[in-house]
Amino acid sequence: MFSRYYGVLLIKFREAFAYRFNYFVKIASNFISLLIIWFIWKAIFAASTGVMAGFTFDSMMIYMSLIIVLNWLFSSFEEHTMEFEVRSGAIAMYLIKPISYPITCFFRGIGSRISTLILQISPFLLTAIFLVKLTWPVSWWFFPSVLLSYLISFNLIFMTGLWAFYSSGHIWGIRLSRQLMQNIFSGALIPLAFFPLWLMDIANVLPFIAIIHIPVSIYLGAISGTTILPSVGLQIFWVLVMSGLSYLLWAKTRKKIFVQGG
Amino acid sequence: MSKLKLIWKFFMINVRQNLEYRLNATIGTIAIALTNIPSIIFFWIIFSNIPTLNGWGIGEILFMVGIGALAHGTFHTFFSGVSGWQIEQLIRQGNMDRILLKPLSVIPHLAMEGSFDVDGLGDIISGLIIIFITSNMLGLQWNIFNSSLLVLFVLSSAVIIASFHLIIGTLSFWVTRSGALIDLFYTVMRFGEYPLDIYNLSTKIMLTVIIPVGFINYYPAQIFLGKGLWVPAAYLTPVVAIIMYAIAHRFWDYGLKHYTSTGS
Repeated sequence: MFSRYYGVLLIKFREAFAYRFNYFVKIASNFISLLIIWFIWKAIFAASTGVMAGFTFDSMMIYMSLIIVLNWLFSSFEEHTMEFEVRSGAIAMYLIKPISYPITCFFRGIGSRISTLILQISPFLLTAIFLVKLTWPVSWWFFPSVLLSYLISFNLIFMTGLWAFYSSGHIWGIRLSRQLMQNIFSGALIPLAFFPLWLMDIANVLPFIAIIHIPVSIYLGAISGTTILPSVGLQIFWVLVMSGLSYLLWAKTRKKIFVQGG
Repeated sequence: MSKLKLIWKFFMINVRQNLEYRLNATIGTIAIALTNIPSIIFFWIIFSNIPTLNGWGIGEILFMVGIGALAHGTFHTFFSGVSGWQIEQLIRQGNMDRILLKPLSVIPHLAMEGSFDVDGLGDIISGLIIIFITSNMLGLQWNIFNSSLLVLFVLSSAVIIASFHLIIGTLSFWVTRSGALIDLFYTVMRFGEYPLDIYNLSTKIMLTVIIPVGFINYYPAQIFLGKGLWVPAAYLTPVVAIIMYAIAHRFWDYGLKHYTSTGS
C-alpha cells in the first residue's frame, strides 16, 4: 500500500548526504548548545542547595542532552518544503498524481529523520555518553513512546505547513509561534517539574507535553511502573486527535486550493 | 537623484511591500515579539529557586535580554537587506548579477533594498517593554544622557549583528549553502544571553575578542546596571561595531573578486 512512497523516503534520505557541510555545522551547533547549557546550569546549581525540583546537575545534563536530540528529531523542515511547493506552484504536480500529499510529506519526514539519526544524532549520542554520562533508558517503553511523539509532531508540523495555502506561502510567523509554544510547554526549555501549578495546568491540556516530556520522563525513570501506561495512553490520544485534525484540515484545504504560477 | 531621496524611495517601497500581506505582517510581528517569552519564563522560574546567579538578579538579567531584543530588532527591521539569508539567496539564484549592474556600490544597495522589515518591530517593542519594566524593578532613572547612550549602544550592537551576517553571507561565494552557519551564529549568540561572569576565562576571552557577541548585550548593559566584569568596556561597543564592520566589508570585497555567476 505504501510501497509507492518508498521512493520519496529514499530521495529525502539521500538528500542529506548531498549537503554534508550543513551537517557538520549542525553537529557543531548542537555541541555548542550543550556547552552553553553546561555553563548556565553549572552556575544555577552552584547557587542552589545542589538539588532542584528533583534534579541534580548530572541528571539535568542528561535531561538536556536528550532534549537536544529530541528537538533535532521533532523540529523539522517539512513545513519549509510545503511552503516552497505552495509558493512555486509545484504542489500541482502532487495533486494530479495518484498519491496522497499528506502521506508523501509523512514519508519524506521519515526519510530525513533516518538520515538525521545516522549522520548527526549517533555521533552526538556517542560523544554524550562520555560527556554527560548518558545511560541506557530506564524502560524500553521509551522507544515506542518516541515513535508516538514523532506522529504527534508530524501532524503539528503538517498543520503548520497547511497555513501556506491560506497565506500565499508565508508560514514563517505561524511556524515560529508553534516552535515557541512547543519549546515552553513540552519541557524543552526547562523540565516541567519546575513549573508552578497554574503553568502546569496549561501544559497539561496542550499536545506538546506528549512530544518531549513523556518520552524523556520514561527514559529517566520519572515515569515508571504503573504510570507508564496512562502516559503512553495520553500520547495515543494526542496521535488520534492530531491525525483527525490534520485529515479534516487537509480535506478542507484541498477543496480551496488555488495554485500560483506553475 | 540625491542619495537621501534614493534612500527614502527604497524605504517607502519596502514599507509598501510589507503592507502587501497585512495578515502575514501582523502574525510575523507578534511571533517575533513573543520570542522573548521563553527567556522570561526561564529566568523567572530559575530565580524562584535561587536568590542570585553569580551576583546577578532577575531584573538585571532581563534588562540584558531587553537590550538584546532591541539590538536584534533594530538589525531585523532596518538592516535585513544584508542578512546572510538574503545574500545566500542572491548568490545562489544568480541575482547578484542584477545588483552588480546597478550604479551603486553593492553593500549600500543591498542595505537599501531591505531597509525595512515590519516583523523586526516586534522585537523592538518587546525590548522596550522589557527595559521599561526592569528599569522600574531596578530603580533605574532615564535621562537625556543615558537614553542617548542606549540608542548609540543599540545601534552599535545592531551593526555588530549585521557584520556577522555579512561575513557569513560572504562565505556563500565559496559554500553554496551558508544558511547553516547563520544558525551556528545564533547558537553562539546565545552565550551572550547570560552574564559572561558565569563562563571560564577562555570562554570569556573568546566572547569578548574573537567572536565578540558579548558586545551585543552584556557589555553595553553593564553601564546602566553599574556592574559586570569591567564596566567601562561598555564604551567600547561602538568601537567594536566599527572594527567588525570594517572586517566584514574587507572580507566582502575579497569575496566579490572571486564571484562567478551561477548564471541562470
